[in-house]
Amino acid sequence: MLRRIFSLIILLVAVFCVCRCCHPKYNQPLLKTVAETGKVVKAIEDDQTLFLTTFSGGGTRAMAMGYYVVEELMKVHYKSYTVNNAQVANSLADEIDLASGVSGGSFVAAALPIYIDDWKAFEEVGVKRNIEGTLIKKLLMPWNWPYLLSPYYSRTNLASEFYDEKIFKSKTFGDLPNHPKLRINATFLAQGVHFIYTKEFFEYLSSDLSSYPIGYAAAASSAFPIGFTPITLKNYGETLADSILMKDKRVKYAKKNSKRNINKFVYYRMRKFMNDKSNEWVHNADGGLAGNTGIKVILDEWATNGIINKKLNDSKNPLKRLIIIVVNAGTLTDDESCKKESSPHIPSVMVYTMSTAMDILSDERLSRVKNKISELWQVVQSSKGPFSLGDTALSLLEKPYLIEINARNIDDDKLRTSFNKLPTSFYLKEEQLDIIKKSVDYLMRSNKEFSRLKKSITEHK
Amino acid sequence: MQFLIVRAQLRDTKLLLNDLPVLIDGEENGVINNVLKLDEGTIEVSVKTDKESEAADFVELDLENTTQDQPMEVVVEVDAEHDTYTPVKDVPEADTYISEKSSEGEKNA
Repeated sequence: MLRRIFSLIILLVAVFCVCRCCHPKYNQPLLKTVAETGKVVKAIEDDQTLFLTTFSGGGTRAMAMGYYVVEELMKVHYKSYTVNNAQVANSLADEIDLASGVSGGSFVAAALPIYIDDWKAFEEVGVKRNIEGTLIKKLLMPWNWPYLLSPYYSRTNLASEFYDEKIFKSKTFGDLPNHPKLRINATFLAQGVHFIYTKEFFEYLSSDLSSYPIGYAAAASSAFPIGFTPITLKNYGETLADSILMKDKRVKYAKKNSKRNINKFVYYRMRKFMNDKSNEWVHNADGGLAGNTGIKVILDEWATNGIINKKLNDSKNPLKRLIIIVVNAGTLTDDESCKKESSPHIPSVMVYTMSTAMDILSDERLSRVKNKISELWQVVQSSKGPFSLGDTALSLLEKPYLIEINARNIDDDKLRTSFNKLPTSFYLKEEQLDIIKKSVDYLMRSNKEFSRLKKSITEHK
Repeated sequence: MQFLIVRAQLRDTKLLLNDLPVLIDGEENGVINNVLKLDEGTIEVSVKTDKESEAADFVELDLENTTQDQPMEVVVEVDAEHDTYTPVKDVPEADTYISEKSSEGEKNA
């Protein structure tokens, strides 16, 4: 009897030790010899068109919505010219210069550079896949339990390995072409701001982005609290003295402007935090917590040294079209809580709290993008007037295209109601996917801005 | 949106130059003599004078309250002649803000 108890204790200690040793694969430190990301130019595209897309969160609903939007863009033929004036025939989808994604939308954004030549394949491996069911099965497999009992390894890590292998072909950021640029947004929990999986953000951690798997970033971006735990990154390197940190101009000017500009304040605070290497671990959760649509990226690119602003000042190669497509898979559900006397349970309150903040933030950011477009268009019109300053950088610019694909804009009551009933999960049935396909088709057909864009493209062939 | 026109002048001369890229906070963003459209208030401006170095002064500006019709104009003085300079003929003498000669420490900061 005593021997059995002793054996059991030994076994438990052994299991405990094994569990303690289970760590996920972390980001790697930055080495000088590491190749830069995105060196391979994939397609020759029109550099007079700047095309940015954002894909919101919303599980498979968002993934499918983004997928069908891209499918529609592929149907629009687009001709552009190389620097040698050779004509290149592409689709409008090939012209996407930047894809920003949050949560379920990050899967579409990340799929763009990987599956653009075989888009249908992504439908099979991502959109139609029962991701939720597969993850539950993996959790029940006994050989995964030692990992899951580890304090360092979670079900989100299990999900990340699955996404990496089965959806993103084990591709890392270093395997991606440099066009389109990818922005996967997660939420940096300690700072309450977006952590974007870019070379720049990884360098703040003295880490190498090129070796980091796309699937891990998508897992962090979609690690919605309660269902998933955050994904952890390691903060390498040595803490720099303030005088050295201030040599980075972005930090220097963020500090200078931090009292009058909240974005500068947030950026400065984040850089200070990451520079302090006693903050050894960065925990990233669902990107939706800091804005569920990914539109913040558009605003960032509109800032002085962002992609949009640089193109607006490029007088040698003036911008002709600025296209922004915002895909929002949010739903509006009827609230039942007001029909009951009892107050909602804590999980419901948590969902209300998070989703309300997310929706308000997203709408405010979209309004700011609209304001910037309006302000820019006023400048363009006055630049072209009889008393103009002759701004060559804006001389060719058409009125910017802001195309919002959002289910709440569906006028067909039946279709809108069906869409709003779709759950936020990582599995949807064929008939549910069909509702999304029909909704996207409806929204794109009825979108006046999209029609105006197609007309412009057709006329300038 | 804030508005700025950057001009470049060869130091100790009245010779204005063109065709040089403007550096805003160290990054190329537009060219001199054009109205630049910017977002932030305080920025640091220079011009890129050749492929290897940034020989011009850095000038720190606060662009608040500029308009398209009344952009801020700044003249950045350039240290020495480079092959990439294209002198502008018949330009009026610069009467706008001319940068203070920067210290060595500010250069290449």
